[in-house]
Amino acid sequence: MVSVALKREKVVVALKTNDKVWDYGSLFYGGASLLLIIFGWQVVAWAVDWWRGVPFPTPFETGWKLLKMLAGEQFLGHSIYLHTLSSIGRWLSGFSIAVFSGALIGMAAGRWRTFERLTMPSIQVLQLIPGLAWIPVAILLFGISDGATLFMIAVTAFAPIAINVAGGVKRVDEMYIRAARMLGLNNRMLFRTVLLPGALPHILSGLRVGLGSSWRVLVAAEMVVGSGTGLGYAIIQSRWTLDFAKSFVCIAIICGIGLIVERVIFIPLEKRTIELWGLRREV
Amino acid sequence: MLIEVADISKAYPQAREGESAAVVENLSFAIAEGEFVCIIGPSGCGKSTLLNMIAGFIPPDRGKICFDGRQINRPDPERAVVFQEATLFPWMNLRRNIELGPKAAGVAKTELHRIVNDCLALVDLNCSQQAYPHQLSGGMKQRAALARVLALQPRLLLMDEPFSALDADTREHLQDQLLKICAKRRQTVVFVTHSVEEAAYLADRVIIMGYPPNRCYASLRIQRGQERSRTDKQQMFNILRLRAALKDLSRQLPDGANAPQGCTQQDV
Repeated sequence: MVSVALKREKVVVALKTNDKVWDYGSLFYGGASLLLIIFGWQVVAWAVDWWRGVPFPTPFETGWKLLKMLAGEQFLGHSIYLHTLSSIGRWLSGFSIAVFSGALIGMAAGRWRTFERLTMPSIQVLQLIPGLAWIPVAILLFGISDGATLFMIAVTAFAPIAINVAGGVKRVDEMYIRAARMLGLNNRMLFRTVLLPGALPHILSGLRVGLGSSWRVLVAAEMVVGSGTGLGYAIIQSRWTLDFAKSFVCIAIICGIGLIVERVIFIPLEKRTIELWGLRREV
Repeated sequence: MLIEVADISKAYPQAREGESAAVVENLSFAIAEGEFVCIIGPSGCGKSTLLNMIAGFIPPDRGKICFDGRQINRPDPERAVVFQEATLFPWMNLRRNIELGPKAAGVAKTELHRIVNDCLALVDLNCSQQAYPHQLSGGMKQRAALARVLALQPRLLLMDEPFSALDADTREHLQDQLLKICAKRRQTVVFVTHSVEEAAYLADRVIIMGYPPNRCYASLRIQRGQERSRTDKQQMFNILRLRAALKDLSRQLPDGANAPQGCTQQDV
């Protein structure tokens, strides 16, 4: 073996990836920006109280209400857990449909020019339609039911996912595809080992956009076609119950879930893939 | 003959509709099994295009290229390519990059393990097999790219200016390593370079491509003594011969004059 004769280079490879989700810097600034929001909120609450004479829930009242609701206080006949879980359940089913169909169509459009020219113009148009504009379509198709909510979530998240996946696959360097062909990879292996990981930065950014817009449309859809449970339904019902602190709790939970998804799913996923591979992140 | 290039031409379409610029015109040559052939010429003379055609990435407009008697129409692991920039997949560590080709060919697991270990040892990269490409230096990346194609056990190795982006020391080290591996495997190599010194040092035979518009080609056999050297008289003589041939072929012809016929595949 040649290697025995050759001088062996010692190569120290330092994995620079930082597996911690929180570091002290981001923790500090995160806390500071939270304090800033709470302060602003408090000022608005005081101002509204003084100026218009209506009780505007303060951060303290909302926090206290959150604790009481977590401890079991009911809202519209259900616990806050049920409202949250039914919203998450709806969102998960709708978003899964969007991810599956968006990824499939995006991949195909990124790879085959004819398919792209056939599908992409209508998907681009789809992206221009605001999520709430789908309400009449959803109700006509599915009636006032969960089906309508799922449809709205799926159709809103679908376009950004499909567009980003297609863009990502298209932008995979032609040299990688040539190398894969030269190595003898068949179509299935090409997709799995080259196109999919190569497009990942774009795919993740598509999922982010899709996630945000579908979460927003979920809350809105629940307000309109809600069926007795869900955070959006709970918020809109506070119009009648005049229990505004509870609806503020729901808003805080919506923000919290978004933050958790970002911190627990997206950032670790990026660290394990894009950063580890030295790829550029697509924002 | 392992490769037979018969009267091929290739032109690329230009921005103005209906126009196209010829890159390779009426080129013919043949390469025998076990031969180390360098292709040199100024930039834009069609070296890389020629290599891409032999690899099967692009088809010639006219003429045909045969590999072992069969016409080339698509890329194949038999004709492995090392690109100018290492195209290792950034999302796989070194070991997985090298495994990919044999895996696609359906090599059994134990055999796969042995092949990959052998290839890593050949290019001296055992210690970094878990590293990702972006963590490697330029030289290590090119060695890894070489290991990846050696794992395919190709009959023909195509190399497109693989060492041009490296510093002089690394380049010389890799040239020697490549020669050692080729000698061990009796590997047929087509090596594109723009460096006359590199061609004179590595090749058994050099194909020189002239600059457009007078497209002439010449084939020149390198003579050397017992030992290969970068500095001896024979090497200097080879370099001078190559330079002279290159200059001769790249001479600008007066307007309207046609490229002299019959200068393809002449021996200088």
